[in-house]
Amino acid sequence: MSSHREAPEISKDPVADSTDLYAFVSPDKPDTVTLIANYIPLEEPPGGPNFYEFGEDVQYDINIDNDGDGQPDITYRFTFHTTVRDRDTFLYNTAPILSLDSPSWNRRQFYTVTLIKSDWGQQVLAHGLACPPCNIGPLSTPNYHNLAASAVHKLAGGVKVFAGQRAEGFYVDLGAIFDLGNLRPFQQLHNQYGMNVFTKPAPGVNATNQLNVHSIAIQVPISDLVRSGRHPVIGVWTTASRQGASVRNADVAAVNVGPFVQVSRLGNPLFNEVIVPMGRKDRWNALPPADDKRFASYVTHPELAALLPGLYPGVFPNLAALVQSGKPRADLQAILLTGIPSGIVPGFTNFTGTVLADMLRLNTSIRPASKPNILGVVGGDLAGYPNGRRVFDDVVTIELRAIAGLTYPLVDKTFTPDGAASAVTDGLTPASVKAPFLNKFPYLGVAYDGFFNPS
Amino acid sequence: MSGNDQPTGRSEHPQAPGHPGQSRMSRRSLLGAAGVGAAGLAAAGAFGGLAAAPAGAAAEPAHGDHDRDGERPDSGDHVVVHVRGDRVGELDVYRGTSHSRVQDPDLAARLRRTIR
Repeated sequence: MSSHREAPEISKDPVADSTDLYAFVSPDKPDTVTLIANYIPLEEPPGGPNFYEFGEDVQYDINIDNDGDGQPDITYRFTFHTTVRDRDTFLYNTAPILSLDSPSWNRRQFYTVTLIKSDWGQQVLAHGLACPPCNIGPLSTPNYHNLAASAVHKLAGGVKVFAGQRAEGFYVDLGAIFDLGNLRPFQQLHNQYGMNVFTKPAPGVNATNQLNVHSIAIQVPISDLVRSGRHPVIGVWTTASRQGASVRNADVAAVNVGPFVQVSRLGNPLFNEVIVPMGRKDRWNALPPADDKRFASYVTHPELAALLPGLYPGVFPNLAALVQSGKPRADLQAILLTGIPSGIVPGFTNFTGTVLADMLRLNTSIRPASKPNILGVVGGDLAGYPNGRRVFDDVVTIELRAIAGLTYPLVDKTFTPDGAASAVTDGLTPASVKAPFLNKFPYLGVAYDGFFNPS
Repeated sequence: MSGNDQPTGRSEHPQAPGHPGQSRMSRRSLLGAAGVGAAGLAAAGAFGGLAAAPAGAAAEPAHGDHDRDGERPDSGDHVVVHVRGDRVGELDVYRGTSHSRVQDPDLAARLRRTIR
């Protein structure tokens, strides 16, 4: 998945597990950028009696680098607090929840938003902001769409925030990808380890459909994020941190003390998931992007590129030759670690400098597309991934094709990609997501309810 | 869209580098903590004179609501000492959001003996 359960340790700590990160110029308010960090992977909508919520003992950060050093210049920090109206009932709600202050809603969460600037200090932008409830069902959360919309809070300075449950918007055929890369649309071409199970193509299956996540979304004026109009590119990543020491006793809640230690990180989708090897994933999660030079070899010589020709015999001969040559994948390094310099893609750059850092890089001077292409820049749409990431971008297909060699001609015009490099996909589109995306903040679909989902 | 929550803003100074109270940590105070228990222990109030760490911003519950578990411990009153496993006598001391590392082989040895 994009970053769901992507490393051994964080897979056991879902409330601190970042799943997806989005950064894009807001299509309906193009003088702003929307940043969304998702946490808590694979929420089954019928999650009662203890419905999903943010961790009170976790610091959730959305970080922005605006000078290309891979360190945060601006951080929006979200911390949460849970209250219980009646400790003597086992119920999340005792009657329909009709508003954010409904007396029948027993267990609620509130949050604080703090702005931290590396050269200035920190300021609490707001506190006591209400999260919406989880979407339970038609009796408990009637008119949930409006209830969730009422949890979009307007702050001073043209800032909007939302924190709470949303529909999972990331689509991926997880079952196929991790069954030894057996992409269903091409399964008949897979070597199948000699078992010959599949003789014809099949459509992809969206493994995350009808599941929810918890989103932290903030919309801020572009001028709040960029260093100046001459430097319109920002690098974005999210982190979650926990205090260093925790003691559990039988008679009281856990005691957490010590400085906060980063336990989760996410910039580009799938980076830690499919680029960083198993033995180093947890370490990667604990480091800032500025330290990513130590992981650069996994980008320039990606394991998946070496696997594809073997999994699909005769389908990727040019990729096989490229891997065999040992040439570093400078195209992937540009996409994932530096941004794409000017002069590579006509009319486009999101280059942030020579520091190798996994960040979602967004050129804020590029206007939203009137007719977006889910393949983003490789589909001719400069407003899409890897120029930031929109909620509907098909990042699985984009990255599969890039790793398969489609983008290597950007740095070596003598290379001819295999025909399959421009066709490989897991076979999904935004239509594979049941809950439609919104055309306004917070853009991700309304959370699935637990009565009708799964269906 | 929401009108029921009136955000309040306030400015804070950036957290100073370093760890408050680090210089005030003494072997005597650590021995006080040692009397409580074990390697990796929580010792409420052992460092009464230690400067309080800057507290993070707290969300505000609504009137009539309880904290999540009713009797949440105040982590600011707890000190956790971790005797590192490297046998050179290093101890990590945690309180609030601060951390200090102390090297004291004798104390480390005493702490180890308390759990044998």
